[in-house]
Amino acid sequence: MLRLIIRRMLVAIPMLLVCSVLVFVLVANAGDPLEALRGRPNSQQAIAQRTATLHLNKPIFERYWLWFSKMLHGDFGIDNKGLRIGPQLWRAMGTTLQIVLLSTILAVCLGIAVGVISAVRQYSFFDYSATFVSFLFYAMPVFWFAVLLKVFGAIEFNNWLENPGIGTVGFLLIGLLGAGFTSMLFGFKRTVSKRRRLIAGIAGFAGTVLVCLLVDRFLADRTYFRWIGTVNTTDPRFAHQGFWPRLGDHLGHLLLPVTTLAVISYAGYSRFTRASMLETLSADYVRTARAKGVSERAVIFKHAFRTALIPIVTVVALDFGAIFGGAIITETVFSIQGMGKLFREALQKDIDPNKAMAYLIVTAINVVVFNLIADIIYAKLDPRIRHE
Amino acid sequence: MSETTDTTPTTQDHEFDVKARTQAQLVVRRFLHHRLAMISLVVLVLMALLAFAGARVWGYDHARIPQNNLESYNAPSLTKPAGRCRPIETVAVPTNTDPGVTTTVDRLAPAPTTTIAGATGDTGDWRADFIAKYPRDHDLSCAPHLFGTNQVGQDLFAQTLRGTQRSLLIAIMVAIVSTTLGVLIGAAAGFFRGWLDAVLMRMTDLILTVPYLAVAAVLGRKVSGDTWWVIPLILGGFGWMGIARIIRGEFLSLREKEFVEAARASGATSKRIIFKHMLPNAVGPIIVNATLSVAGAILAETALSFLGLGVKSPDVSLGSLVSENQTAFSTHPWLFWFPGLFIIVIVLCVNFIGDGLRDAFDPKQNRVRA
Amino acid sequence: MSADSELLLEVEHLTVDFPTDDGVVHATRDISYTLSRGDVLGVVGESGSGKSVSSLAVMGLLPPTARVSGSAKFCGQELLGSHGAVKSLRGNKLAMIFQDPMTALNPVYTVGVQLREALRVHNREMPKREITERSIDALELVGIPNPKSRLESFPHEFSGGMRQRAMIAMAMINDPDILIADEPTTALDVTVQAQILETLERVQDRTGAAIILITHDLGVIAGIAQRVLVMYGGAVVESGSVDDIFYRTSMPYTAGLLGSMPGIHAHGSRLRPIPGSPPSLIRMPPGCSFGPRCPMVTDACRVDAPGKFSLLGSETHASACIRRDEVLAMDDARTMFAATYDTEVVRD
Repeated sequence: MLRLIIRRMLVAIPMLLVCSVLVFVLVANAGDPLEALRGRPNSQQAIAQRTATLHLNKPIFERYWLWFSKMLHGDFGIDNKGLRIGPQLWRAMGTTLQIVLLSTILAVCLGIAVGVISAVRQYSFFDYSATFVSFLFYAMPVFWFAVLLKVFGAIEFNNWLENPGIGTVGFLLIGLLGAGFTSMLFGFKRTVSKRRRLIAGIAGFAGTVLVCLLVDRFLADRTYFRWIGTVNTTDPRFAHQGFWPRLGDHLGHLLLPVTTLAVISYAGYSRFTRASMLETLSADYVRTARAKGVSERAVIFKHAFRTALIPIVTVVALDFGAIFGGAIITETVFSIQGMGKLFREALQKDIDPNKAMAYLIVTAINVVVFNLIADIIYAKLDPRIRHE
Repeated sequence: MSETTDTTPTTQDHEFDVKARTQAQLVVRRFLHHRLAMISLVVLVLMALLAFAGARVWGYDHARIPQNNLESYNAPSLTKPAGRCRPIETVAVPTNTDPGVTTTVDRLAPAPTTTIAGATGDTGDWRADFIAKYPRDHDLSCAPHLFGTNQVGQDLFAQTLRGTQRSLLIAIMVAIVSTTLGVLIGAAAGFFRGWLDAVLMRMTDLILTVPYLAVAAVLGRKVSGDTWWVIPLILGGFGWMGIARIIRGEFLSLREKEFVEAARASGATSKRIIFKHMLPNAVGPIIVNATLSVAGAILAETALSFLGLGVKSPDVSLGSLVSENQTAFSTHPWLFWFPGLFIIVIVLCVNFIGDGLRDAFDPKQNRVRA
Repeated sequence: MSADSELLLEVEHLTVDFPTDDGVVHATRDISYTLSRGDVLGVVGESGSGKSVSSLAVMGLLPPTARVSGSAKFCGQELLGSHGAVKSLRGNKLAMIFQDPMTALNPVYTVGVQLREALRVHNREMPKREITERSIDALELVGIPNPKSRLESFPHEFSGGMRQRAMIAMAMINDPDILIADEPTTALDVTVQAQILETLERVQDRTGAAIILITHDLGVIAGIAQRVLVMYGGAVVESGSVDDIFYRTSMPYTAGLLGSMPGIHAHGSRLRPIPGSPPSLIRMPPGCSFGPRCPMVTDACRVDAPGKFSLLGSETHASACIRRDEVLAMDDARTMFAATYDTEVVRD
């Protein structure tokens, strides 16, 4: 195992070196950092200053070396405004990490659960609808979905919070959802008869409507503040309040970006889990397990799922590395001061080379690190690799 | 069949016919039986027809702005827009050759509100006058604004059709570029193995370390209105890694197959083995991935448009339409809905087709009906 | 033979259909046989003749889309349909091993884990130590050296033959009454094949289980089985004792199988494969399913369904051929395909 890690590291380090060159060349050719300054009157001094800080008058190799040697010491230089990039970068990473971590957990749990059920009950109504929903999520442009969520999930919901109530349509819809859930829960086994599923569904409907009624009574005559935030991750009005109100506010702000990211990755994970499970469910060793008399539940979880998990976990680890730098759009829509925002700031009219490079190289390191983690997890989970 | 008496009955021949179906025929047959994929294919073809043929016929142009100010933010409707569609009137017009002789011509009655100062009756040629007065076909059309209009009064239906054209074109270009690159690189790596494989695969890993969107955003900064074709080159140039890995895996297993060894033993060149023997056997994953990359490219183009890169006004793509109109969503929702729905329908269809193709190419597939 | 010993398995009119997009696949049609304690029943036929499907149906291992009818009784208990009976018997009284030992063991668990699981599923209260002891015994029974340390090995550390032995150990660990072996030697090297067959025989000697041995290799059957079912196109076309099948062949298909088998010919004679290919299980030819490939086919064969299982002189020997008496009367039925060979082009 240790040997595998060392071997992988030996590949990763030169790759990062090449990557740093690539990033540098990419950014150096992306645009002129002095473009906006040149157009302005009386900007000679500003131009001279920026030229000096960015070493623009030095040859490209020397520039690369200056940047690279400083970066090795964790110094990412200063941006066009003269601010140090390091602290900005760490803050942005913290913010992005919160969103990405929460959304990944949500997407993985939901995606795996739905994918497993879809595969076990292949070609059932559940399978078809789950497949369709993930295809739909897969087909939606991220920001299109984010804007919809902003309008319906936040603005309308906040309006509703100001005068809450469920209404007849709401009762029906939530009741139907409850009915579907219970009938699925009880009817999970194929052997359960239609009649019992129907009874479970009716009971679920009645139960959900009852709960809704109680909630409705509880909600009536109260008003709430506009909880869900659409901009940034905190509201300054809460800055001086206690821990719980601040946490509540924070969660209200995280809800939408996390949902956006989760929905997009959920679609991928549920499809992937389904495919992986279908493959293991039809594997010979699953048939062997059945022939041994192992219960269906144990066949599914101990044999099929355990093996199907290997590629799933690997893909999740790889995605986590990639999504870290890729939340650009979601962060922009919800004005979150994360990595994506940092990157977009760097790509203004006059490009901010240090900022752009800092973003790109940190993202690349992330991807490489998570590739390594994925490899280790894979080796941990699959004995065929472990013993090589 | 029971009337034949000789010892090789026709049932037997029929039996051989069934077996003799070629792989391609089997794939096509399985695909035709895939209901969802077939529906998607029909929908997609209809949309493409609408976009490429419909846009020529449709009365409005995607870029032209009407001369009246009545058409800002018209909601979608099936009726004629206000201030538009004057009654047709028959007027006498002098012929060009002989000013004494007049002919009658049908034309739209001029709208009183849209007169442009200084543009009337100067030349004496009614056609020139008319075009001067109503310089855009936007003002000659009598069609309803099916999808409504935007702030300056451009017809959203025309824009959506134009955007569909652009988006499809970009996506197909991306698919061609990325598939070609991916197949060539993957095939070379998988066939030659050794150091070439190592170099190519490290290169693949390397490009995968930098986010696709970020690279495209950095490179796409220089794209202007006429150079929109750079966008598919960038997206394709950085989107081939997935296909390359798949094809490499495919080639690694194919090169161990007997028919490849046979070809090698009979002295075929590497080029011949790759293109004549191995590539045709990897055609399934290639087609499936090319199809799926079309869907990915449409979404990637949309994301780039959102970042302000890509197709520039007055030209439009579906992505640029949605991102231009995102702020209008709460007040003029149709501007956001229609192009967005077009994107979703196209991407859904392409993905369903890809899924159907995957099923059709998969030899294990003999789908049992539930 | 064991005609009067305890009757273990009684299969009657077993029919399995699979609805597919192309039509209904009639995987097996109207199969009936019995199995007594100590029996070794060989089931032979080409691939796609329904031999595996019929045993999977008995084990209740078919996918849920399969439509199964008929009856299969284990000691009087119905196995088909009602889910309960076969579920509690599977792995306990009825065990099965499969063709490809490379894929039949779960790659992520050690052989020991998989062995112990088989035991624990049916003996919830058994103490841990006893489970381990019995696992070691089971590996020992099938001739795996160092059974104790081998328990901790993963399947990929075993050779193909060893894996098949481990599979047999897993199947036999609960002392089943019936062991169904589905092509247990097909995926293995010839030398290993003999070892596995020997292991099966030893296991049967030791435990007295009845074995259903499914194979396409008549040579395997000849060595180990007492009774044989010959299957073609989803139906049993001839059944009888090994001697009946080999020396009193009364069905042209069986004759063809024998003729295409290397090893039992006189020196210098050619192998004679049966021309043509098995019928589509979706659109069966009318009448006898072997008709299109049969050198002795007559009009009558193509009109009627075959004369169902007419008994011959012997009580155990049966054939589905309406010209069975003529086939039986031939000196060497295998030569009947020689004529077809000279006239017909082999299209394969």
